[in-house]
Amino acid sequence: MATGRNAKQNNRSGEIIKGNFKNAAESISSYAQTDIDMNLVFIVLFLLGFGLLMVYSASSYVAYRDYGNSSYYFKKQITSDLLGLVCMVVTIFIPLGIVEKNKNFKFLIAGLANAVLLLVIPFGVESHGARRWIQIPGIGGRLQPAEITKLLMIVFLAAMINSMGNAYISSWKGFLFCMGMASLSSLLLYLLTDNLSSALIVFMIAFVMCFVASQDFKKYIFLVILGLAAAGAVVAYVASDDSASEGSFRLTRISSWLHPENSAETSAHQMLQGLYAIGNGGWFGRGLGQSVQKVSVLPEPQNDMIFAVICEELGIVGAISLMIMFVLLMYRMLLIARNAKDRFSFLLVSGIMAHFAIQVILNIAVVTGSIPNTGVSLPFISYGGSSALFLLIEVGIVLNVDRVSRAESRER
Amino acid sequence: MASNINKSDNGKKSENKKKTSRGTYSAKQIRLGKLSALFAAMLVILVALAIRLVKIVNDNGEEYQRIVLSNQRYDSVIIPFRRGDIVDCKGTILATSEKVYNLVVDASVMMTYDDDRYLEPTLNALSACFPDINIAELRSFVVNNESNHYRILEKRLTYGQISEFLTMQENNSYIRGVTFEEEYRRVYPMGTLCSTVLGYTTANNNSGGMYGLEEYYESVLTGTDGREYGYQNEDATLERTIKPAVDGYTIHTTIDSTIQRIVEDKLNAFNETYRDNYRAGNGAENLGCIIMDVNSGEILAMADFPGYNPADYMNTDPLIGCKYYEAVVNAGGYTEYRKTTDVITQEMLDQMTQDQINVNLYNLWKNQCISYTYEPGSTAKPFTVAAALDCGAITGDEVYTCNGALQVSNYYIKCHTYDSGGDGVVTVQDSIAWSCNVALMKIAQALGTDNMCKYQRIFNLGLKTNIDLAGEARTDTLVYNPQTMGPVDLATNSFGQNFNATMIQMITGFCSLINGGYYYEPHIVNQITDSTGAIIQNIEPRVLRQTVSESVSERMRQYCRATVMEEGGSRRSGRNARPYGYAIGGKTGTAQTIPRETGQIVISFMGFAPADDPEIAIYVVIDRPNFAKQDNVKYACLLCRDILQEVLPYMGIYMTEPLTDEELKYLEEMQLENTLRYTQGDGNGESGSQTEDPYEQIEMTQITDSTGETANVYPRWMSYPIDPATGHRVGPDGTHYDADTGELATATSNILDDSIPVNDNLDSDNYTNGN
Repeated sequence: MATGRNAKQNNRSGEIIKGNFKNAAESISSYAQTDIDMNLVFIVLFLLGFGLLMVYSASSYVAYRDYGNSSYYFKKQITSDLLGLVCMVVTIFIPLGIVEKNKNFKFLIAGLANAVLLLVIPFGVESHGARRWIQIPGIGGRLQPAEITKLLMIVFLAAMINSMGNAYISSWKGFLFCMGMASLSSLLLYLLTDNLSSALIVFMIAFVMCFVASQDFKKYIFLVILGLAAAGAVVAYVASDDSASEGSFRLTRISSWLHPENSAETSAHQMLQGLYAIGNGGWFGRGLGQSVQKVSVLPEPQNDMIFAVICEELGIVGAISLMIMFVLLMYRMLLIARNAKDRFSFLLVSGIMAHFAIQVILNIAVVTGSIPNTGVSLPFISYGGSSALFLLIEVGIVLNVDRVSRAESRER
Repeated sequence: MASNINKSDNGKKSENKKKTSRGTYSAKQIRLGKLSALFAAMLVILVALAIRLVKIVNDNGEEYQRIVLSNQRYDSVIIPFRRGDIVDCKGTILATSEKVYNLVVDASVMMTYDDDRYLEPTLNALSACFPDINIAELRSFVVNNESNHYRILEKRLTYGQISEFLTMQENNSYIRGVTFEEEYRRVYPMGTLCSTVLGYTTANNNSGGMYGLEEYYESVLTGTDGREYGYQNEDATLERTIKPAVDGYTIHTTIDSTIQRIVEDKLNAFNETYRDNYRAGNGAENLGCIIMDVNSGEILAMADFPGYNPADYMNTDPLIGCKYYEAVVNAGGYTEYRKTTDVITQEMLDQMTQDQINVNLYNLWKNQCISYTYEPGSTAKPFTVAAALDCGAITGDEVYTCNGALQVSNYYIKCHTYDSGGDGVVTVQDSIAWSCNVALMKIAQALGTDNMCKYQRIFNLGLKTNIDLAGEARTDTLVYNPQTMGPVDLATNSFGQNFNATMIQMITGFCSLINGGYYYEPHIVNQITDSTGAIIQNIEPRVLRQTVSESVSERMRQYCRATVMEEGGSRRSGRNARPYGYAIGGKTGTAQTIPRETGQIVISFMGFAPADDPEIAIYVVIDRPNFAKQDNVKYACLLCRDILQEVLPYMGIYMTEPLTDEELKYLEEMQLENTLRYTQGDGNGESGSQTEDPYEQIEMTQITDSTGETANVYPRWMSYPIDPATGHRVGPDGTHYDADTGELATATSNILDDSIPVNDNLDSDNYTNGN
């Protein structure tokens, strides 16, 4: 019965969205005035700027301690942000259609997505117990191939699904083929780079893209319920028996998530310190730069736990404001997807939107202790050059789709 | 949370269900609808997370805030203060503090990157600069303890040792995780010189002064640690605030390290010459010398043998040759340290426990000049005479007759001339110059017990001198008071037996006798300055009291001069103490120790120079010299002469007496020897090459020594009846013989019968810790 009421409300909200879309279509001339969506550009620039500010705030102490230079991380981040913006602008003007020109080109992209992962074997650099980086010869910079894989898989899946047709993707066969391709990359990600979170993200993006493309929904309900039940069973198993988690560090993480106070593991310590930071921040925060936790107790506060520092310094008000900013970002992507000129562009933007949404949700869920620690960075906010670079390229793709659809509506 | 996801998913699905069931939507519409539903689902999840945030703050906010506050650690570093220097009167550094560095490794910094980009260069640099570090061990430590921030690898490196590494660190940014913690190390540049006066330091070598000046001036020498705080200011940048350390003050001593060096060299030479001479062990059980400015109470030199190196105070080498002390729990439950007859050898040291070694080290670290009490013997005679003159008991014109002994109560107390029939007619001056016990006993009888005790206090006997050194002995129970002093005690006290004193008490009192009667508080520090050189305090000479009148003092100078110089006649006791070319005054001392009959003697000489206008006083004590016949005071006189022979010219005191050819030749040889020692020798100032007895080099005019000879043991003592009162065999002439050994226990200079009552507390060889 509750389901029925929800359905009614959601139906209404669906109509509202449709209504908005109609209004937008009516004022199509004003919509086409500009070449690109300046709203999205502004939101991205705001997030980048805010991210830089928070990276500096969170990392200045650690950077001074380890490198004698409080702006060490800030400078590296601003460099990759600027490089990413250049790449973004270039991406806006790349004709995306070339992906679909040749039937086999998409498979080349899929191959490339997996091939970059193989690069860690000869060129890999180890850090924090995993080989996640490859050294770029000549420049001296390092790249996280997982970020490339995510981007390429979105492009590949969009092209793949687009070539399948509605009926085929709605069938189990088409669905399993796409998921199989995604699983292959996920498996490689997990095995080669020991990066479970990126593997999960690729898998989830593929799932969401299949869901959006297909006409069917029953199996998705079934699979989501199945997935949640499986996760619940693992958690219940770990919770029931203390010794169950011994030997596997994934299971240990679940155990330490359930009982952070008892765990000596660093991830549990990290999570607890994140919660302390949120508690210490309160509603309005300690003030920018006033985080106590970032000084030594939060390891690498500029990375995955940066949201905790934001909560501590800017409070719940600041944290929710940031979440609203992400919602706006997603909303602009939604609008662009709706206006996309073809199915391929639509799927591209949907995949990118899913990517952002998944990372934001997982990151905040980890910081608030809602799920076990997985190590997902917060888009545009967390420190990380590869992440910023490829996320900006993804924004470039979204703006590219937007540019094309605006141009088309102008022509009409 | 799981339920939140569930709910939102349900919502998403049900929405789509409705649309498709109608079957009126195009594929594109379904796509768009599904995307919108996804957006809505995302929105729901984010709202759920926001609610979770609010819940955290509402439910646990205060608790978490408390935890954060209690966990808060301010990165702070202690900046050690620098302990003040100790310098001599010329500014020569006797003790100073040197900055040293502890090498600390931070494993977590070294392991920042998994590619070992820091680890290898750092380890390479460490192995290149510090060969002592076990690199393989360090590598495994760092790799296995990635979260370790602090491990001290090397301690107390000098700047010279770390400078190479610092340069490498500056040139290679991959050398990380190595820091140097500053600390101070106490350095004694002069080695063993002045050791027992200085004392040493323990904790971090920066505080915890033990013995001597280091202990006495602990609060002056120590400063306050500073602190370096790290915190974040309002602009979120790391600020470092330094509260600087306050360094300790420097103390300026009155010690002249040149004089100190001369004194210690002569003491060492004496020991070298007479080590293992008669019995195994050092040249004497104790050797001490104090040189003092008579007109201010300032100590110019103060030395005892053996000394030790304060920088290496646990070293047991100086103990070899000393008497072995053992810890004994006495009847009162206190631990007492008792001197045994054993002499410490290397073999003994190897077998001793650390506790046993410590007991003996305590004794080594003590400054015997202020903590060792003993019966001063004849050096106390000037005090008795001065007291008698000052209070008018005698006029100075008296003439006494010495037949070799004097009957006091039931005891027959002898003079050292007993065997030769006594000194005969003795004036007051002769009583000192010839050191006549009988005359002194008669003077003391004129003085009386009340005045005797009164003057002993006036001369500070029985009281601490309050010299600014840690560890001065208490002597209040080692002297008599008018209630306890009997006629026999009065008689024996008159020539310095049967009461104990310390060297510093004796020489300080003696200074007042000859400087016009002014008793200066002895002191060793005359100025305190801060680390910038600004004067914090000047310590002026302090006159505590007038002991005797100026005219008595003048007479004492005259009597003491007669003891050494020609006017004392052929029987003058101190003639060997005169340095060539100088006129000095003084008094010898030859004191029996307890038990009396064993022939254990403390010989000493106390003098002043120049004789007419005294500037310095000197006191040399040789406790139980390593001779067959210990009662030869000549050796103390010669030791004193050798010291003065070098000290007086150094102090710019001119010769006033004519030199004979022999003396001139000796001085030239000495000059040559000293010159060679410092120009051609190995530079360490040792005169070890000299193996001959330096005292026998000069031909002495042999006159029968005033201190007499050991009496022959007459076999017939066995036939004498035992006196029931004393337990001694008493001959027909009234002589007491020891009932068991038959020794005439009174045959040494101060001929005290074993039966003469002794203050029970006189047991100078034993001490309790912290005395």
